[in-house]
Amino acid sequence: MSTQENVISILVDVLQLGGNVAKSLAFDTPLLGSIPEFDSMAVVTVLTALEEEYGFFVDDDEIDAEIFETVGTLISFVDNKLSMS
Amino acid sequence: MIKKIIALSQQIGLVNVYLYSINRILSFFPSSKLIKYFYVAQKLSKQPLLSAKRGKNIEIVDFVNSGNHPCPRPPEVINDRYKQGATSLIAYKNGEFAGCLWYIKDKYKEDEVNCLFELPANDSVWDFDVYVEPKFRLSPVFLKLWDYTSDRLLKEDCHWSLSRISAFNPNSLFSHKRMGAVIIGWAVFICLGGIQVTIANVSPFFHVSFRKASFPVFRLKPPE
Repeated sequence: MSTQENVISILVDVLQLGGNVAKSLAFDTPLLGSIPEFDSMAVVTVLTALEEEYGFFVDDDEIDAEIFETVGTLISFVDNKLSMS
Repeated sequence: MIKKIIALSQQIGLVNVYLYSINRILSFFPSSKLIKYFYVAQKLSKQPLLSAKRGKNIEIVDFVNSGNHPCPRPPEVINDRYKQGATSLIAYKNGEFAGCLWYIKDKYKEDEVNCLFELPANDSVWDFDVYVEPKFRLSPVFLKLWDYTSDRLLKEDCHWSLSRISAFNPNSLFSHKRMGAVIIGWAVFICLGGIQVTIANVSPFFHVSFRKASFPVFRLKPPE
């Protein structure tokens, strides 16, 4: 599974997104401010799921709104973490 | 515009969109508004929402009223909350004010509309004005505040936290639902100048107030 497919799968699972919203998630889909389910609890849960999936750790101070601007920015963040580990 | 209305109605329902529209119209008139609340009950849990590895640089303190409360509210509102017997917990992240949470036992006089919330069950508190500084809204501040409050209240034999949330705020509705909050009632307040009409699906169901000293009293209990 590619990083994009994996990240989207985690988002759908964590946010419990319904069929239509889940199917519409793509690289440029906006997250923060566009999906009501995306709150601070969702952020922590998504990051925890990514940490468990990929084995990296995200420090609290790394958490920034820019990471969650779109699906693509989140994927880029994951790729960046993987390249550093 | 149509797309926004459709999106909002999918999030909060068509009835609430109508009510929200009425509120927007009323806002052009002095001292007039339409507010709808959902009353929710949240069971407190020993299981923290935040894992132990997170929020290590967030400190929670009990803020005693000494003036200069960091929460961005008018001083008279802050003073009134303390006068009512409310407790205020403040979160500091790396020493910087990050957020606050208020709760009160027994009863709470609402400051947005003219009503009183009473808690006849002695295992409940009323939580209100959970505020997080914008720059920390994605951080674990809220979860740390909530876990700290839950832990403290459970030790005091409180098992439920009741609150009111705006029916026009889909983000708040989703967040509460995600945390397991259940809706125990709703109320609509139509304020026209000095007159307030209240319609609710919980007692007193209907109330008309022509002056500040007259207000509906909601006695709210967690679900059985």
